[in-house]
Amino acid sequence: MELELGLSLSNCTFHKIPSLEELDLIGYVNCEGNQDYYGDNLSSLLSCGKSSVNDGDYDQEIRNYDDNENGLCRKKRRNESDEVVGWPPINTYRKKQQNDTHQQPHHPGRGIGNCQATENGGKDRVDDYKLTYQDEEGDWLLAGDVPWRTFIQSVQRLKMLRRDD
Amino acid sequence: MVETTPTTTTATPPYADQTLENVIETVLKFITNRRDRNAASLVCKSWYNAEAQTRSELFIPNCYAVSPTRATARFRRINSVQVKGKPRFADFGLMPFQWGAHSSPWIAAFGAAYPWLEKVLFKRMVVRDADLLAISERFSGLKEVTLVCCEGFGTKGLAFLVSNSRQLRVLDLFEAEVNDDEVDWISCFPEGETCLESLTFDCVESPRIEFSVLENLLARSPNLKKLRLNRYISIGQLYRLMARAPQLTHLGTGSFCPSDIAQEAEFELDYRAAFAACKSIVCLSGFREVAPEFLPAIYPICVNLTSLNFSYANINSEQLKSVICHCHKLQTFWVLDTVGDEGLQAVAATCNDLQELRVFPIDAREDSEGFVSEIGLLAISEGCRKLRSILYFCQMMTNAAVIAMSKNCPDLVVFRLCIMGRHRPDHRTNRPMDEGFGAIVMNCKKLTRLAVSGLLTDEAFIYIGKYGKLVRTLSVAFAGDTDMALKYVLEGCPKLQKLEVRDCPFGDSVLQAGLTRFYNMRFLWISACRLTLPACRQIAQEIPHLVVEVFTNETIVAEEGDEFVDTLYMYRSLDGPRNDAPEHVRIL
Repeated sequence: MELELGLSLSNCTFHKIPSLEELDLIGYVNCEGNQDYYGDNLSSLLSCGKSSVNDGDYDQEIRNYDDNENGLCRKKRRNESDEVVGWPPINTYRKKQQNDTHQQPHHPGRGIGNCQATENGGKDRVDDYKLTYQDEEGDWLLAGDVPWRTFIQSVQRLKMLRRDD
Repeated sequence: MVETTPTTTTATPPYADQTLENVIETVLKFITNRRDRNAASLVCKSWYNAEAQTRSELFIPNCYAVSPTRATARFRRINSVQVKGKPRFADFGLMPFQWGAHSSPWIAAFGAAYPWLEKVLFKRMVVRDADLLAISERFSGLKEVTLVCCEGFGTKGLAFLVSNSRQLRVLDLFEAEVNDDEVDWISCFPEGETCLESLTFDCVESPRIEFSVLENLLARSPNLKKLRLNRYISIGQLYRLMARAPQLTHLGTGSFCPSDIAQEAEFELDYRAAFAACKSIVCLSGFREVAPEFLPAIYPICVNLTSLNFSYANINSEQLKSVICHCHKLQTFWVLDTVGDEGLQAVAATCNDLQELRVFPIDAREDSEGFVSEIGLLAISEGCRKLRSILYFCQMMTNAAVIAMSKNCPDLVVFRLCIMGRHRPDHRTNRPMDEGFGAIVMNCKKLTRLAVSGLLTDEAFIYIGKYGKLVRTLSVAFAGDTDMALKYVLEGCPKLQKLEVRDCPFGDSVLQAGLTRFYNMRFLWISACRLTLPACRQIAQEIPHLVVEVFTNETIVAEEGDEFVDTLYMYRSLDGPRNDAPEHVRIL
């Protein structure tokens, strides 16, 4: 019987730089119609010319990055035979809360009675927001200002802000 | 043939029999603990009947272990029901689509047998809008509805429920997936004074609440003690709600940040005074989008808090310290790992009465940066000696810290350590985590629930089997070397009721090893291991009344040709296999 302790995993250095597969950002861009983590706002932001790199280049970038890395440590995320569902064991409700907080703008204080913004659908609201990210030095920068490779090497967190903030 | 009469007559006069039963019924009414009641019912037929007549709370831990008909036939005077459906791993997306756990047949049976029903609790079940409507229509005296980790309903169902249930005291929704049907269900509470004592809707992801309606509801709910708001309530709105309900004992704060269209006034409100006015608050949660600069507002009530849930609050160690230093009476504390080891050290310094700690990861991925480690665990063990329950997510751990906790916190009943990177050893010694978990089962003699992680060999399981004599629930993932690991556990842990195993190298022989155990267990879950379909089928054949389900977490049917079974889920049932399983779930 084969033993699969995966000891090599434990000896890996865990890179500070997030690997491409684990940045859901990348997976989302490459995987059409995947609504798992991002709402329409983010997807249209990603595709509406904030970066000069088109989808084809994304694929190439990923392959280059992949070849350079030790593949042992990383787990593929989506539609792959060895993806790990449900690990770490955080319940889907909590996971959703965390994703929603980071990616989608919400509106505390707004109910039907107080609502001032239009509810015209995703497209109109895209222009109201900008995507910012925190780099490894803790600075908040505007996404789209730096080359893609620099971005993925340094991004730690993402935040959506209203355009007038 | 001479008919001999027995020397001791078995036929007693009817009235004496009845008197005996009346006496027993009267006495049994005082027994509320269900395990005691179960024991009493086994004494003799008379006691069985008396117990069945006097039980008032029905607890069904597995909705498929017994049919609604059988349960309602036995117990005739129930006024409170609790039914649980899916196994816990359903929370992590490991169940296939539409697996089951439907509340409808239970509601129908309860409707027929217990029209006077007052309390309903469903956990991990499918509850549809129609079910909520049925509940509200069939039980005119309905007082309490609690839904934990349920799905299938929306705000429309909630609207049905609240509009029909005039006696409702408790409506608590915990971690439920609630569809947004664009209905303002809060406005559906009937007019006039309500009986509301507890309203929990922090998981309802619907922004459609007319704030003035909510405010008005509070104004006419003089008995409201527990209120947990969702994240669409801003801090300014919270201020106004607190003014309406200064008698609150449990508060979920909602977003705890200003609305994005905040007027200046929202920033200038005296939040501190608002909290100071709510002198009775002992349990605080919420902080869903916390703006940390507002945290000082809660200082006035910190000294009274016995329970604080910061597990959605992205705060750092400094921000936590400023709050926790006041919380001397804290018994339950849930927090995000963003507070770091330093934050946990602050908790350990102040919260010496802490009984339950849960540390959740802000970034629940294997290779994420961990903010807490063995340092935090050690500090907690040294400061919080009365700890009974811990859930700790981290990226790095050492055996030494776990051993220290086992010695410093001998009262531990629940120990759940999740080292998020799979197969990760003690990061200082590079050894497996066997010693740490071994020490836990050895030293914590009251331990009933254990979840293990990190690099573990069979040795860890030798310890568990040898010392885990009270363990009822065991969760194992990515651990062990050989089948012997599970055999030690199945043979050594007499109280084992719930065994959840995933992604371990265990094969068919573990099924054989547990043959005498499975019927007495609540359930067994084994997924992504090395069980073959024939072996699972054999178990199903050998043990009567055992329901053996085989499935994947998608809608793919387990095939004969598959090398290994994806998921095996089995449990005993008095009424045979269920008839509501979808096609992709095979019942062997």
